Amino acid sequence: MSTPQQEPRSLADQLRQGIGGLPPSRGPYEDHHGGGHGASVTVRTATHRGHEIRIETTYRITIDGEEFAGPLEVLDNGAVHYHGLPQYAVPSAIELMKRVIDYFGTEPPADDELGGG
Amino acid sequence: MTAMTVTRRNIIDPAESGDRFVQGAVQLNQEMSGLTTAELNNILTPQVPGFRIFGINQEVSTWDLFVLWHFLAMQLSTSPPRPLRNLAHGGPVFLPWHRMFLIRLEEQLQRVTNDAETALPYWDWAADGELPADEQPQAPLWDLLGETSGDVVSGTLGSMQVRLVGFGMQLWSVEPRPLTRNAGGDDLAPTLPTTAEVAWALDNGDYDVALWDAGVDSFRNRIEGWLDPDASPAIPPAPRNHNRVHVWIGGDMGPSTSPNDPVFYLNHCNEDRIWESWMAREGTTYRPVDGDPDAPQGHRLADQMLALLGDSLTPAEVLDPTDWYVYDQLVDTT
Repeated sequence: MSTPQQEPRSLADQLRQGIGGLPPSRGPYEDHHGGGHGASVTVRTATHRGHEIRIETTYRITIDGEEFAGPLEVLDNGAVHYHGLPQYAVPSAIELMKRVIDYFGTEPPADDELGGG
Repeated sequence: MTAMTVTRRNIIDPAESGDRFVQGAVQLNQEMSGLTTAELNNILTPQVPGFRIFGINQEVSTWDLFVLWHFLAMQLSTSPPRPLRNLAHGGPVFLPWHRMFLIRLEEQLQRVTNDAETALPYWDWAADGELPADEQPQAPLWDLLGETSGDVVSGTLGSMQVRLVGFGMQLWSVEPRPLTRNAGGDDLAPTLPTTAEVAWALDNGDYDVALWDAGVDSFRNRIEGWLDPDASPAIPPAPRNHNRVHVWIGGDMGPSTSPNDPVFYLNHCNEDRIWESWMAREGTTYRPVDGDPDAPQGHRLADQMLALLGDSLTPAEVLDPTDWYVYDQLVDTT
């Protein structure tokens, strides 16, 4: 079961060969990222005494007038989650957005040299 | 160097296990990988359409590649989708995926320290959680790991450099900077988890149950930290166990790039030890298996787990870790 420890160069070579364990039918990357449309939609369903309950929640959030891409998700217990802060699920979207500002601010942390082209 | 079974010990006793770990972490953080962020985009974007690194072009270290791996696993949703579930969190694979991740990091520590006996240590955070709140950031662990608030500039980890950071849902390459922490600074988690919280998690005999997500009552979900035993209609749920450690430390432990901070590995090594303690009592069992209803791809017993570095393993292949390591002491479950 044990494997030889790999040098950095072989780690790089392995990355070039491909990511292991990537499921063929996973959700598209953009699905987990709100698609950049600024609206976060969560659908929750439950069955109670034979009745089907469906709750659709939409968040449309701005910070200083700028659209926040999200997405926010609502868990079955009603807590709100944003995957940029993966260990957080809080009772209020306002409390969540306060933490988003505390952690990240509103300006990107560097110039985007890698986006040129 | 021949791989061998190592013994993982408490980071504060004996002191050598902690010293070796932080020195190895710094070495891996300074060891350049030969890959730049531009090259990483060229390699990864075709494999994961929609993904790219933002920011500056720079060469990254071996340590940074683990940060990238964790970030990417967290951003890939599962099929069928459930809120917050991804290929490493919010579902059954949380514990085996991190076991594989830690094994790969441990192998790199053994290589870079040129010592086949180097083992990841664990941080028994529940022991520190029994201290008064104002004493928790002064526990002996932090003499080794440096500042609990603000930039980490003292001690061995004062030379660690952060190059990849989460900015919301994006991964950014930034000018190298020190680690940051904000221990106890969020009123959602003003204290660490306690021994009672660990015992509550161990008390659930089901490893995991359908719908295999952050809403179910199972051992995995209790230790990951999405359930709160004290929550009620009047008391909102707070992060527990694993999640609470991340939130309590804050700073670089908050976003999906949390493996920037070596304390990430100490936290997960302790959760792995708690999982091993659970299996010692409940047996080497895992769910879901093929055929379980609603079982998500990438989380089933025989599924390959997402791997950027080292061969991909299945949960079945890591249930017994004794080819790689054992623990000096499990949690008392009596």
